[in-house]
Amino acid sequence: MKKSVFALLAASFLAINAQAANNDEWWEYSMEMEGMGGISMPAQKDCYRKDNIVPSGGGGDDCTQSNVKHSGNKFSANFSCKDGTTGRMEGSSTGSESSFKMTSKSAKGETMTMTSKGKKVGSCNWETDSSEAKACAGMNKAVATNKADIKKECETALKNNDFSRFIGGTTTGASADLAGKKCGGNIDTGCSEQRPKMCTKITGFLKETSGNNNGFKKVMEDNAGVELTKQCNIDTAPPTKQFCSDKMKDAKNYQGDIVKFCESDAKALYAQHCAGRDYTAQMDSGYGGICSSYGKPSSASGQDSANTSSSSGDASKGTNPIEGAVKGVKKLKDVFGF
Amino acid sequence: MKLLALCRWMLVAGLCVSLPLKAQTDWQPKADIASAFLLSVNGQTRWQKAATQRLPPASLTKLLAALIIIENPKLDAWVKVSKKASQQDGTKINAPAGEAFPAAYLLGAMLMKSANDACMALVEWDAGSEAAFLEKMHAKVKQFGLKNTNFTNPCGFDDAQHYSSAQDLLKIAQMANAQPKIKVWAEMPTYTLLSKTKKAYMLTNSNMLLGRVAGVDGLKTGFTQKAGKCLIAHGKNNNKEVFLVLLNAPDRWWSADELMNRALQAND
Repeated sequence: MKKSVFALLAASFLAINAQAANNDEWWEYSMEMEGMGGISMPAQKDCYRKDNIVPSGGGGDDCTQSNVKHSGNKFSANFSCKDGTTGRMEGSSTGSESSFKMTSKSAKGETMTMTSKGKKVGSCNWETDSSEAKACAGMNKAVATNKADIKKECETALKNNDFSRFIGGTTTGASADLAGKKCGGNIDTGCSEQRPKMCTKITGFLKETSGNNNGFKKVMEDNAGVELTKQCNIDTAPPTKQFCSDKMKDAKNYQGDIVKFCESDAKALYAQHCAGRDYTAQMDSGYGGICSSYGKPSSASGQDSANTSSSSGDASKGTNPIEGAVKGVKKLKDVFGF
Repeated sequence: MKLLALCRWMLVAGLCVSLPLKAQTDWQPKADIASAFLLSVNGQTRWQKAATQRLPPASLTKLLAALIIIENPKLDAWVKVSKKASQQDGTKINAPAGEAFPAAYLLGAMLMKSANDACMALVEWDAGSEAAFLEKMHAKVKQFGLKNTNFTNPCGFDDAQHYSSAQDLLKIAQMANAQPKIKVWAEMPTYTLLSKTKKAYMLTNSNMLLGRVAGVDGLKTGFTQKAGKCLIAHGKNNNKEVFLVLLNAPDRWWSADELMNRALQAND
């Protein structure tokens, strides 16, 4: 949802600014978002050009607009995105100031309100001053000059089992937008060439299930490793079964592993040693690890390390995440003042 | 179990008033839960092991870095991620070089997720270079009187001369916990960080105790191959404030769960 509406917001902000733009212009704007882990951004400045404006067609490929209305210096439209998000946006511009508001509802029913205010702060040259142009130039230069370095990095990553470098084949996120859509190329800064070799290594790792520091955990405790098993089309069920069989032979010493990877075994141990007992009895049972962690949200390690790669983890904490996020944003505003 | 059975019998007899207190007071953590640990209740040491031993602290280092960063008066400034920052090892938000974030919010990535690219970007932004920032860290170590601490990098990577002790880390934790600009991130479970290019980065707090252990609201996790699993936890209830430092604790979540629960629940 966010990717779509952020793109829409950016495009529509440009649309509003376009109303009075005769030359490339510096605009300073701020944005606030409420709902869905709200965000408040300090004022930022960028150079926009008039011929980059599509007043009625913002949102790129992911969203379409309907009921688009331009009346004087006002603009409004409904929108609908491929991911099921729908909403409405309204804005106005005087040529030197603009305001914009967008409300949206995701397919899951989550609502979000974004507001943005902008003001013109001078003239500029888009080709040299805009962040977009600078980013494209930087990326093209970096890729052209660093091909050998990238290959070397990939070889090192293969040697060091840095799984994250082998996910996907091209740049992702903002870099992909720049590379593929705006900078005129589909640039691969990942290690797709070496990925088959990493897939082979992962297949071998998953067979190593004995002991504490084994290959299975090396892969499955790393979010990037887990993602790679999917991209490599590796069936993790058989090695997981073998892993759990090994750990259950010495369950007291492998409680963490059992909770993480062996759901049915953990459930049985919890029922046998923890259910209905008070805290002290649970700890005295010898299965304190199972008692204190089974049934709670996943606590995979490797999310906090200086030496382990990771990506986004489990966001669930047993509380309403949206409510918590809104409270968090309010607290941030109180602390930082913006 | 025997204790509980005895207690139940005594309760029937009206004799079990002080037994739970005695049980809590006598209880001691097993020595093998960590290479070093220190738990304080309301500023008084309750349990400790090797609290002055010099050990690698991993990303717990970032708490001292954060204490320096929040002194910067321009936390609303945009911080650009350099090539060096984007190429840091370990846990990262994976922001590409050139991406920019508001400093105050990048601090969240550094503290919640323990992201090394965020850490290095803030370090370079604050002091101009890693070396200059390290000078600031050394000055802070001296200022705080940390006799068993020496940091050779700002983000916590292993190095033979990069060390601290549970006792020194407790002091750093107490300073950090008193700072709202650090605390607000330490207790936040998740956050969506937005870059200047409007890309959203999901941050999930690496402290698994948040929301799981009653009263716990921080503070920082750490892990490297050499340091093992490390943790500084903070919790409080109506009349107690508890800090726990664990260095090289193989089962840190369970150990911390038990120690924090016992410390916060003890009837003393």
